[in-house]
Amino acid sequence: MNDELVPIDSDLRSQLARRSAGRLPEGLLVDVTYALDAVPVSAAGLPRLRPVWRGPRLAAAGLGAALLAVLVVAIAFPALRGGPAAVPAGYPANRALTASELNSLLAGPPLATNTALVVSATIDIRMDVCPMNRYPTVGVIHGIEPQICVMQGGLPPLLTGTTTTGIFALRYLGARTFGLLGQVTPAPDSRIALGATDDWPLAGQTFLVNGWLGADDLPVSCVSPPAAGDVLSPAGEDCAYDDWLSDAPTAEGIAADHAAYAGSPQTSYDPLSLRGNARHVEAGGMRIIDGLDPHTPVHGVFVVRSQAEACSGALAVDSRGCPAWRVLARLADLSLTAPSAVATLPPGPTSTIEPVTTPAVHAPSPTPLALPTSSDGAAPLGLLGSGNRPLTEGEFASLWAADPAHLSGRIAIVKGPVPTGFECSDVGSVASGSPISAPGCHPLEGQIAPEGYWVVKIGADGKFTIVGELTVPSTGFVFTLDQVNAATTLKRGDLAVVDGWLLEHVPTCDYGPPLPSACGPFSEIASMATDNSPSGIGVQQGAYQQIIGVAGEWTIDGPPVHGLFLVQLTNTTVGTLVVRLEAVTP
Amino acid sequence: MEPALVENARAGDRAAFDSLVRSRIDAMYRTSLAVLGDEADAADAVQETFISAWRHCSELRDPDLFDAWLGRINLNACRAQLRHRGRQRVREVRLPDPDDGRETASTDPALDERTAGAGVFDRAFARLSVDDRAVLVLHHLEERPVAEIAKVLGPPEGTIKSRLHRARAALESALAKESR
Repeated sequence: MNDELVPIDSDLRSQLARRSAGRLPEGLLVDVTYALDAVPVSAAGLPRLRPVWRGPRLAAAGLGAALLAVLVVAIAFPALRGGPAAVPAGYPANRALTASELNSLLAGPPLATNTALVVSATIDIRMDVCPMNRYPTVGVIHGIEPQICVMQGGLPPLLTGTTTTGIFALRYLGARTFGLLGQVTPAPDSRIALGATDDWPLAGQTFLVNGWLGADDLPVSCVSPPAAGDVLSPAGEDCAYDDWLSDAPTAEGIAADHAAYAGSPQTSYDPLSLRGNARHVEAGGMRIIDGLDPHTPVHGVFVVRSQAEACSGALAVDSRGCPAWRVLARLADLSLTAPSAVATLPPGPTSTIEPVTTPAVHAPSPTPLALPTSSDGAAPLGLLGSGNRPLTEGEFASLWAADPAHLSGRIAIVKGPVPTGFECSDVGSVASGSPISAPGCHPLEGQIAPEGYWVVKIGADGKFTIVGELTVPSTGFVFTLDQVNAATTLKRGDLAVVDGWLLEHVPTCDYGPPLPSACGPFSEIASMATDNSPSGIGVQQGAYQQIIGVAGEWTIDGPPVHGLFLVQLTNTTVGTLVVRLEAVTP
Repeated sequence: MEPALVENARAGDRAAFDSLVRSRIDAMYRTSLAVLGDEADAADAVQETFISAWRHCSELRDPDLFDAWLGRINLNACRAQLRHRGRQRVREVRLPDPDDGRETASTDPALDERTAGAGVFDRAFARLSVDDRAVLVLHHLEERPVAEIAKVLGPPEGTIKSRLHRARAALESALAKESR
């Protein structure tokens, strides 16, 4: 019995009953069952978390992600940026980055997560590198060391063969790792980006459009906001907005369709057709990922895919199909850091290292130093000095002289005052393979941080970027987990080196799409403990798994691993894992 | 029985979820059809609903809210279909089916009048937002209590009551425009 404010209207009820009359379509139940079969097993029915992790997990998912975002912003826009900026001419409308330009870009200030770019390169198709549970590996960018990983999203077609050369649209996931948005079909002229009014490629192709992305209001409202979906395969719907791509900040043809759409009977039109100077596109998900306000048209070069295979759920069983243009990303406005003339040494063989002394920069050390490396030669770890203490200037100079390329992009713990970087002047001796002595390498003038312990990122030009100041215990340099748990002085955002076991991960962010709002593109939650039992501290891994997850190393699905970890704390039980640290060895 | 099925489905039991699908697909299809007025769109919305529900079943915290949760997913799916509708390259044309119980054109003047009235109503209904359509369908057709409608649509009960008034007024206004 319904005794609500508005009485049941029998006329209205009969009209609605008429609308809903009829048989259930034959085969719908079978279609639904078939479609459910196509849902990846990993996306449904995930095992529930062990209760002991639930508290830290939830806290880490929310606060850890926020911290990670803060960290990314903080280090993406540092006050101290290395070198003058140079925008490659013609990028991105007329040409893509080269692989070496991409490498230079990665050696500069860290990219913001989800930064989209386009690169002309060869990808070595390999499945045995860059392990990651959220995305399968496509391979690595050919000829670049340390390796740049390319991961596969949910967008077909998969790259096959041993190598693939072309123009690729990528999203930065973290730690020299990109997700593949698609292989770009370039414009049929000197450009690579099409205009809004050009003929756009069909049949699932990915291409670039140089134009204005805008949106019109629709006469529907949302119960819940639109979802971003996967960062490599964003959801299309924008709910109350009708997105368009135009060659101008306005789109009259779209507005005319919109008016017809609101009326009745509804006007049918080719959803892929040019509507005046614009086309209808689906950009709901990418707007969230790229932070684009639907109320303001924005100019840029956009990655677009002709979504011809299925309707919104991308179901292979949908027989009718739902043709649409799906906007995947807006290419970021990039600037490249110009290389320093005094710090562009070619990598030299480790065996040529001349012993240098520590901590003095200009005096030789009695023994050569070696970087901690994995079996495949990648540089996956953050650096400490030998004996688990901050890296000294002497150690750094020695390492830099030996193999600058191997240091590029690494995080290191150093003791202040911190110089702006290092330069090595004895280029000839390195190039000839003869021993180079430490006097050839010296700190650059100026300081970027005073006394204290500091976390820095090393650029390809030998310059440092400050990540943050390290918090140390009252005695020593490394926190035990018990000390972290009991500390009253540690506060949100503190960076600490923690001695502990990292235990198996919990893929809390693999539920999507849509991803929970707390999740980054490949966030994971792990637990750190004083031994291999699940207690201690919950940590959000973020990009960490990329840094340590290399061949021959511990992987995210591997056994517990003991070590020193750089953690940015949310509180005394939750933090974000920045990197695993290992000492250079004499 | 039902709570156990929902619990099992949350744990990834596909057979349990299939049972939930079988017991709800007919009602969901009718709700979708009433909201969308198009059989193919309604079928797509139903399919999308169950896919999404299966994907996110493990996130459902309270099994008692399964139907409200499913209803909300369904309305989102209807909303998506409504947007796609304006973009369909080819619109499917429904042929008269003598067995489906729907009114079709005939030589009977009374039947023609009814059909014309149905056309006016459908055009007027198409002017409403999905939320307005949904609240009218849930209340006037399915006779669900306001508290239950609130669980499906999200806002508190008081808001649902005002939405009912507002949706009814919007329908009256649309009917007036379509009848001119």
